[in-house]
Amino acid sequence: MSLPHEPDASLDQFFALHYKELRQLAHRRLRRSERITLLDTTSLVHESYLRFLKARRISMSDHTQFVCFAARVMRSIIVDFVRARRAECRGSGEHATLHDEIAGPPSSEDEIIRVNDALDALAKVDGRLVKVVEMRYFGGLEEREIAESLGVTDRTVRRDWEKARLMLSLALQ
Amino acid sequence: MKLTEQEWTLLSNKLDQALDLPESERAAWVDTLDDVSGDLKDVLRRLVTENVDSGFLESLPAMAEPRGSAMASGDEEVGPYRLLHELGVGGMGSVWLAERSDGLLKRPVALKLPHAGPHDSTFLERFGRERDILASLSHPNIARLYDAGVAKGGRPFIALEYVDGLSLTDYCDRQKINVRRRLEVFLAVLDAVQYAHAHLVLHRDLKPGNIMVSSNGEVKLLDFGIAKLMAAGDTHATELTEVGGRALTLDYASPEQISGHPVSTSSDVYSLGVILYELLCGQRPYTVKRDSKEALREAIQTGSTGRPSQAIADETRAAARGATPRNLAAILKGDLDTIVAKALKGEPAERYVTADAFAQDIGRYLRGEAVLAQPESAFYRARKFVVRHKLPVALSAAAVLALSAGLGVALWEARIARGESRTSAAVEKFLEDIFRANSSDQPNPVKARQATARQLLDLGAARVDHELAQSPEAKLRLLKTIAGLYLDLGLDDQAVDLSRKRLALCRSIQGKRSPAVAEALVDLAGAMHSSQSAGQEESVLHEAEALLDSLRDFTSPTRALLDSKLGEFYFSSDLPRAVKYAHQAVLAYGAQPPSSELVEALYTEGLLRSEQSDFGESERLTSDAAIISKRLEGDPNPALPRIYATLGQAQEASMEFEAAEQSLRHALSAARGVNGDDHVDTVQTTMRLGMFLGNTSRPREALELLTTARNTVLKIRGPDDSFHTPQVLLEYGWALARIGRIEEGLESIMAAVKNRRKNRPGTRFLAAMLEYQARVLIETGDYAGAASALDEASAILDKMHDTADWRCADYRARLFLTVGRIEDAAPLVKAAEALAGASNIRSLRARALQVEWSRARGDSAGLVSNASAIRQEVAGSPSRPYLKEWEAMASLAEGQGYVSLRQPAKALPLLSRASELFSSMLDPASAVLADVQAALAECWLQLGDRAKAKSLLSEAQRIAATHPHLGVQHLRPLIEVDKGLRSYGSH
Repeated sequence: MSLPHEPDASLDQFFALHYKELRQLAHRRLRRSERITLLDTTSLVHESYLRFLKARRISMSDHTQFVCFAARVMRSIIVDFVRARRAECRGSGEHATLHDEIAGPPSSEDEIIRVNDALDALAKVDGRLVKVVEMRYFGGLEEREIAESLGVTDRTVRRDWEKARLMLSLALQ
Repeated sequence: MKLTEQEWTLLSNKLDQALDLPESERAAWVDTLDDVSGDLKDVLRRLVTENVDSGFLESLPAMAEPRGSAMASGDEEVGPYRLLHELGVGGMGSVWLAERSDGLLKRPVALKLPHAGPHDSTFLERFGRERDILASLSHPNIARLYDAGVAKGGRPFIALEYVDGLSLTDYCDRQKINVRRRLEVFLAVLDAVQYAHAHLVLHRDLKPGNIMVSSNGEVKLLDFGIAKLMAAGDTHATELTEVGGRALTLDYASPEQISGHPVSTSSDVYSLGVILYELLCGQRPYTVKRDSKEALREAIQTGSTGRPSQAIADETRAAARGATPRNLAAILKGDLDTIVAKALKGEPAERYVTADAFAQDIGRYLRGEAVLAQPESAFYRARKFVVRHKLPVALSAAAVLALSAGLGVALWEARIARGESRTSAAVEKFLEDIFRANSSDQPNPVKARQATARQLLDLGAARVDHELAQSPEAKLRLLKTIAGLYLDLGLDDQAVDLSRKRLALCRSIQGKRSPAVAEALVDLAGAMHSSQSAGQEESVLHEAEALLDSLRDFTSPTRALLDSKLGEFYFSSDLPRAVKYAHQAVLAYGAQPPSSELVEALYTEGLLRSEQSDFGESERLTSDAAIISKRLEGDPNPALPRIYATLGQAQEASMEFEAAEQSLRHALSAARGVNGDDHVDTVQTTMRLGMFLGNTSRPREALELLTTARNTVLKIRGPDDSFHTPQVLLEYGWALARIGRIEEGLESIMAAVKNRRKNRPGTRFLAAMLEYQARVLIETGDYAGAASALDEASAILDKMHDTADWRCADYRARLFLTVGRIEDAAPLVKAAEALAGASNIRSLRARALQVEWSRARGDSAGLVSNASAIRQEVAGSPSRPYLKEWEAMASLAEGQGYVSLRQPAKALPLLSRASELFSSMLDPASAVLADVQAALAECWLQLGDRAKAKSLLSEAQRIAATHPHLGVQHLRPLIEVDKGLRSYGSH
């Protein structure tokens, strides 16, 4: 019993219709909390799936593709959010402080923007790699979920991730 | 770094190739490339050699002020409180004495400030739920949780009742409180823990430091559930792992907490046991250094805890208990030792089931009554043992000779070695005495006797090789006898060994194609059946079959025996074939006067027919088997347990429930009567009765029985046994899951699957287990896991041409329906429909599936009518009490249907009934109860009583919260009601 994998084109068409709705949902939810963290986005991805499901916009079989899509949405939302905050910060003269975890010069927000930019550049080079990063970094999804969604093995996802880290570390230098 | 698109593409391709190579070869490979420019080559080389920082990209950075190093200081304001002074620092945070800044409350509070760190972000989310539950705990011996929240700057805090006093152990020592009084104080602690457990709150970190006694003697438990609350954001940590870089004390933790298994009320009971131990004798059962978790785990799990009465008491400790060292030991010895031991059992299932049970035993002790906990008895292993078949009568003289030398009985006579012996009868009788079931005049020496019998056999087996070189015939018979005796003692591997020797000898003296060789082959196969060589059984059997075929022997006893064994063999892998052989065996034995072999053959065929779902035939066969067996060997006898068990199962399947219960209870008492409690037959019959009770709506009793069966089988066969243990673990797990303890159930089922995969891969048994696993996984929401388990199961079943299996189809349909794949479920549901007409369990199942079908399609009217049909049929059935679970399920479904149709008045009585029925059967934390409460909440919402709806919803949420993973089918109703409560605001 394997989940169906529809060709990307029709999928994109379908989701284009719902993209806007999903964005709104995410915005509303994220605006409530002051910060965005990985765990928030993951639960958001799952929660929005539930909502969509309840509204019968999608069926369960689309789950894994939905989360792939949702991760993409997450990415755009997060990037927007960060850009907005930056604008705010510059305006008020404050500088966003570092979080303990992230070591190294780029501020946390810088990293997000630059990862995003790098992904844009890599979109034509390795589309699948970009998806993996979206789902993992922005969407917080696990290897298995990512593998299922893309129709590849866990091992492939791990490899992609390894490669992604290498390439993005390069891009961010 | 800026690169062009072409450069990135090139880099990407090369990386792909590089990553295919082992790490050490990558750099060298890069050097060999000639289609890459020098600069890029450098870049590439650097990439494959330097390690990227391990934290890079691992998590999305948070983007607000750090909590990190902000330390609290006096006079600082945290939320509505002002800090006064620090009370202490622990593994999870610091505690401050504080008061309300607005002076609203005169009493000071204890303010816990969790260590800042990575878990801050989701703290809030999980916090809210936990906080509500903990704040609702209202008990005189539990320190109140006043408030918990997040102050300005994102600083979480927890405000608790401040208790000024001493820890329990300090208080008792300083006041020199005696043992009796200490027990009385301890009872107050147990009362508090019981209260909390009843509210689904575990403490998880019980220790003397958390039990305070105030200056006026009031006992207060601190930090209930706080451990969970504090670690709320750290989803991967157990409370015992390092948080904020400091390890927590492990000395009071239960084995399952340490090894990261699911914890339950038993874990708290364990910790209480350690505390009681300390209270009684001033030491801990074992002390371990903080960092050697493994040492502690080992200490606990090897059960090397001493007894309180044996702990070395010095003058001070004894004086603290108002006694001298000697009379302290005397006071503690006996019942108190036993009580503490029961609380400290390594296996959760063996401890006191509840804090209340613990308290009651202490109460009994204080009143001078007998306590219920049982001490470990030296002879627990075997009280009786009995030989499965009668001893072969024709013991050759030489055999007698060999054995008697081991007996130390001087029966040596040169004449004996050559023919019939006059003394063989006497020796036979002697041996029979040894092996016969213990009569009531001879209680304990059985254990000694058993050892002697084994020694005897070993000696005999050894001697066979040396002696009797001139009498190969005698040697053959002796080998056969002793092998048979080994089998009777359950020493299968030794039996196989000897059987092989016999076969080799037989071939050499009788010739390769003699009937004796066929018989030897069959016996060898029989010995292999439950031994380590089980895999070779088939080829041996077919060798015997080929031999008998070539000798044109189709009716001899050897042939009949072979057919029985073939039937038994294919039992698990090729049902139709097995039935064919079993039937042949019945015919062969049936043509001769009734014998125990005939009984066995009837039983085997009956069992197989049952597996094929031909229950009528199964009943007939096993009934006959029982009658003949009783006639031949009386009641009880060793064959009866399995015969009655099989009969009972066939009757159950035909819905003759009273008869079934009678049969199964008869099976159990026969097993107990013949073998005592610690025998596989007793385990099997206990298990089957338990299964029956579970199927007839008595899940709690079922669990009790299955727990007993599980404990016994682990004791007598160990966890790696390939036959009995996995069966019992499966049913035990299923019983747990059925009652609502799905996590524990799943754990046990998965242990069973693992065992079966290792020992009996590709068999029907494994397939059945996978089906159960799948069903429980649907409950926990692991749909992919459920799907793969079902796939594996059907792969196995397809290979065996087994089409009679209903579970796979039913569960698969349910899975499809749960995940919304209606179209995929449709053909399966339709197929089930065909069975729906009859009046038996099968049709009930089929109709239950149709209920799910209606539900998944949102066909509320259909849901109501299907569920109603089931409910009414069950209510009108003479077997109604056995079908309580069905009635409850149907009432719930029908009620839910009416709720969907917005007819709450009709739904209410149905849902109330469902609630009543389910509550009487299931564990309070069962997800089904959450479903019921959610439905009732929705119902009340529609009826306009929002308060009631809200409280029911809270209860449902509370229950749902006790499960780390729950399928969306359970969560969705909660979300719905929640939404409904919010949107009804304007009314």
